[in-house]
Amino acid sequence: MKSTKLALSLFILFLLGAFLVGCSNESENTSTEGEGEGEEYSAENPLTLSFYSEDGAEKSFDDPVAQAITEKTGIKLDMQYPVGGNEETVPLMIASGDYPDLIFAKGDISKLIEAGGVIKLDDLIEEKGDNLKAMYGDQLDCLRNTIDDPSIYTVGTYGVEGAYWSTSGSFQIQLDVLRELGYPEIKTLEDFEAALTEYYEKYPEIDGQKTLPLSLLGSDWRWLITVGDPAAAVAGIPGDGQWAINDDTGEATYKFLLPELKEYFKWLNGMNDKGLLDSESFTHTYDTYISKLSSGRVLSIADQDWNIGDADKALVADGKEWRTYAPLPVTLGEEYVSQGLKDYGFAGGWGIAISSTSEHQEEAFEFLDWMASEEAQILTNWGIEGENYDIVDGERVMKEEDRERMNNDPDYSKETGVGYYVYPFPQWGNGAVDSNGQPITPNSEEDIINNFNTAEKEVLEEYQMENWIDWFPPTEELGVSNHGQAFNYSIQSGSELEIIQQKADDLTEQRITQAILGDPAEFDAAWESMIEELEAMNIEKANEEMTQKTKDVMELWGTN
Amino acid sequence: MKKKKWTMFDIVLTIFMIFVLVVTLYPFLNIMAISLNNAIDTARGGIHIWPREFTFANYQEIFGSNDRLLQAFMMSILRTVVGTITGIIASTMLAYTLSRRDFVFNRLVGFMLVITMFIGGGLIPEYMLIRNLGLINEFAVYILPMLISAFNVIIIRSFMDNLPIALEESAKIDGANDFTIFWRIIIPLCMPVIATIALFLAVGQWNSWFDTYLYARGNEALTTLQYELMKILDNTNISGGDITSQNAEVIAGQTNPQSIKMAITIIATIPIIMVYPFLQKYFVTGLTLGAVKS
Amino acid sequence: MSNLAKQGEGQSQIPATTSVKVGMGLGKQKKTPSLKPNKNGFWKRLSKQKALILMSLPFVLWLIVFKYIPIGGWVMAFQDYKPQFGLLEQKWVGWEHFKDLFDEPMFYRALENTIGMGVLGLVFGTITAIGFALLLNELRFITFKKWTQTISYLPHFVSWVIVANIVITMLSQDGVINNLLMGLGIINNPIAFMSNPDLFWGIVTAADVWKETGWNAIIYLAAMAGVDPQLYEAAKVDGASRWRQMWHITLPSIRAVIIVLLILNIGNLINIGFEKQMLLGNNIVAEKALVIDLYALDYGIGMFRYSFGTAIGIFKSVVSIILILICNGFAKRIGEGRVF
Repeated sequence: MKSTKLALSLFILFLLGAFLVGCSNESENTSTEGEGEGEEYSAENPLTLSFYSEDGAEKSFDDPVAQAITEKTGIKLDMQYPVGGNEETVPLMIASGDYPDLIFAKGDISKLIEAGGVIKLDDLIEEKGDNLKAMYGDQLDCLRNTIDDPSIYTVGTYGVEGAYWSTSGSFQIQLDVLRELGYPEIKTLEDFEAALTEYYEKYPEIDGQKTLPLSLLGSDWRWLITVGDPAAAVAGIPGDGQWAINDDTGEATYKFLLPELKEYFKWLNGMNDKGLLDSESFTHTYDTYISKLSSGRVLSIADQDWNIGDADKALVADGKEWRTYAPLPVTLGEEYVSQGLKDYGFAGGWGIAISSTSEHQEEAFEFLDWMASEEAQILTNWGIEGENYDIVDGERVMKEEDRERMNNDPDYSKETGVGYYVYPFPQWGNGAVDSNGQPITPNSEEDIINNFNTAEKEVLEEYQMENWIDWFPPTEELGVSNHGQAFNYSIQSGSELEIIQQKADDLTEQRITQAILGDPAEFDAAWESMIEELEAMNIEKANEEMTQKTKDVMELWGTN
Repeated sequence: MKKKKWTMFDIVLTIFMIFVLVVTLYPFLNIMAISLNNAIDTARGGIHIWPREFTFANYQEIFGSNDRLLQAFMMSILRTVVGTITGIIASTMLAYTLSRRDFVFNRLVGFMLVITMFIGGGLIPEYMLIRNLGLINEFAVYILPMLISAFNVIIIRSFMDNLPIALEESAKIDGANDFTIFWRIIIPLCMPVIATIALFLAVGQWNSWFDTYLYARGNEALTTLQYELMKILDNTNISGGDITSQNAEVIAGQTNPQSIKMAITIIATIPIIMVYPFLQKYFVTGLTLGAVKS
Repeated sequence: MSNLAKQGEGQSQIPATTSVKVGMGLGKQKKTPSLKPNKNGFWKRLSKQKALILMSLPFVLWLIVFKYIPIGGWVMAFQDYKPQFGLLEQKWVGWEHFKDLFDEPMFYRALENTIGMGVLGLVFGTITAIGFALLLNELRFITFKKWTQTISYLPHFVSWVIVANIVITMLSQDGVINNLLMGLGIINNPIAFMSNPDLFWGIVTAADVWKETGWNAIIYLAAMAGVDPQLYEAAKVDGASRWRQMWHITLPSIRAVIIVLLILNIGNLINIGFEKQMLLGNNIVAEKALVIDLYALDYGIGMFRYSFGTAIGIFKSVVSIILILICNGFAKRIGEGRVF
């Protein structure tokens, strides 16, 4: 008898609750228009703008470069970021209507646009965005949102121009393998396998430990980096994440449906069968992987430089330069072209937006515009004249100490601010030059070459090259992408496309891993059944939608 | 305790316990060793319970990178102390009313309480509630939402259920009211369980950082040790879809080496694990009944 | 056995038909069956229990505000929730999200794994914690006892990221476990523990036991502190062995706590989180590692599908509440403790 009453009262509570939590942001959005307008902010009386960056880190805006920015603009930034990699920050912002002034939300920007949380910048750019206009030029279209809503909401993130002085290739091989085998030419999987086999037979052990000819890291999200990406790379497919996109027609295919990828994984399966693949490639943790690399007994990897920084440092510190790696332009066969140096153009996509509730939209915009100016670009990239760099014969030259720290001290950028405020703000990019024809960033190919370790220099010499990129087909030959890169598209969260892709990604990671580790006789059957499962989850529909997206992007950008 | 002979049982038990000690101490020693090891050398792996290249540099880096740690530490202690005391008061009181089976609302309140263990409105409604209550950036946001845990209340109540009743009866006859009985008789009898719950509450308060992030990050005075350490620890929860080479490089540059992470773990946990030994005196067998008889 | 022993067990001897606690010492009132109070008696009791009401009222209000009001968010499960609108301004979609959920094969796999690991964790977690507490209680040397107690609870403070790392390293092909097994000649080739899907549930459970036994034992130790030492004295006079004392005195004395914890934990069977499974899992064992909470994260909140995520949450709550009602009813029927 009591339970009826109980149920009734719970129900009433439930409704009451819905009402109370539901009374959301009625009282909000009282952004008093024009308040503070006309007021001049200066270094003595700075305006603090809150800036949320999804890629941000713990940092206060007080380094020398930040102070110089405040001096020039009267703006200070209060930098916020999702602590602990929290994914709920943007939804909570939307639910509560409490937005920071500036928002860098990466892919979540579409949610903010939908919720009316950020403003259109078109008019502001038109009226007072001279620096932005000069910077983006005819690339301005790449900033536009979608074909249905072709407004500009964000600016920044990637360099308008790009220079391609380095690549991690499809595989990286130990320098000692190259030396030992008399500096062979390694272009195809066949060459690559032969080289590993030969070295492995000669040296089954390195420093008393078992040699591992090829090691991958397929136990966490890095599966995508060390297993999924190389598969497309060896087939000469440009980096579009999980997609293979025909840049002329815009046709998109979920990449694991392609026969070339099957061929690659079949090869990996063979490598595993022959004992050439580290049997723990799909179970060891990142730390273990790095420690294996640091021990110098891993002959080759399929990884990116930024993922193995710690191992590289440890090897050099141990005097094992010959155990560090060189990037290889390996492909399935001579007919495939390595895309290691592909220029994806300015892809727009993510960027910094200004919130609709900000009381300082004008100032925020002026700040972003200033960040795109030549003065700002030199300041953020080079630091302060006389402190971080000198002008020698009319050219900017980084101080020796700064150059040294920049290359070796991970805290350099954080402490001095040099280079810290480049990404994700509007940036000119590597290779761009200022009004005097000087490079806008201190990075240069020369710098990269100078930084090679002794073993690297020796190997390059043997091959009669200056830089590893000389192995790769040059950027000019590969053409510029018409659609940018597929992972930059704004895809609606929770849409069918997103759900299908998530399911497909989950499936392929598991099935491909199992197929690689399985019996070679069963590989074909395993692959077939994976394709069937993909079809059953309607991957065709995802292909179609992705094709449409690509076409829309190309139409929006005028590149079709 | 009288002197007793060591039996076979005692010997086997002691050996077994030493084994348990070794096994459970290992992870902590491992962390300690890595935190005291050179960060670059750590990448080579193979550190077990002793550092290979001993250094305090990791700790220096943490303390050097953040000048708010002391203030945050004080705030952590404050919230732990206040949160534990208020939590104890609230849960014992509620537990007592629930232990009284003659209490008219016993079953209703009991049911209402237990249900809360298994339901939750989700983050957005909870956030909106806290916001509508005006608790954002207030110290109370550390205390109020965590005041009662149904689990703790039920544990205390089941302990109270086991108490001998005679005392309560005699107090009742002496004319003491319910609150006096609770305060004068029940509380002293419940010290073992109160010590346990105090530990749970303190650990819960001490380890929280998410509420600081969600509700109090706008007020610097309210920052806590766990939150500050969390900020240094790692702000990268990269999932595959977010990876592009450029931002991956940015993120990789922000990720701290393993040794730093381990040092953070040590700094974050040492203060709270010191609490337990102080509470242990309440776990001595016979304490409760001893109190009853006197 | 002595009288005291019986008194210790007194509670369980109350006839199950009445929920009034015998000997609660409230004179006449103890005979009033609480389930069917007559009007008069109810008000009379009410007025006598002012203190009790005052002692619970603030907390009942607290429960309503902090626990029940946010439940209003459950309406999201029946909407196509967009955070920019208030809860009552959303588009309603009825049971659509639940239909999606129940049509999804992954969900059933996640459910199976969750319950599998939940049951294993419950059984072994409970047994080891009680066993450890019992043994600890028997340690003679007090200082040693205290140290053991403190050290055994340390792993609880180590995050799963670190524990998973240690476990995977120990179980790797050249890890401690394989070396040990090969050294003892039990196996000839290293076992690939982490890539055997059949071992995954076991590994998760073992890691959990390792990390949490000391912590979970604390409650039982506290309960044992309440046992009258005279019971042991009496037992010794009767010549009972240490094992028999544990079995016949200690265990029965903490029975109420055990039962209550068991009921609560059964209610929580489905709430096992996802952290350990995610960190210990890999693509080879993924089919055994997918649990509901991870599914909810990846396919719900991770995709901004708050409505779908809420639907999963409601499903879990319903399962929990049904489980706890069944267990509580069962416990009452056999006269062993209660949760409410």
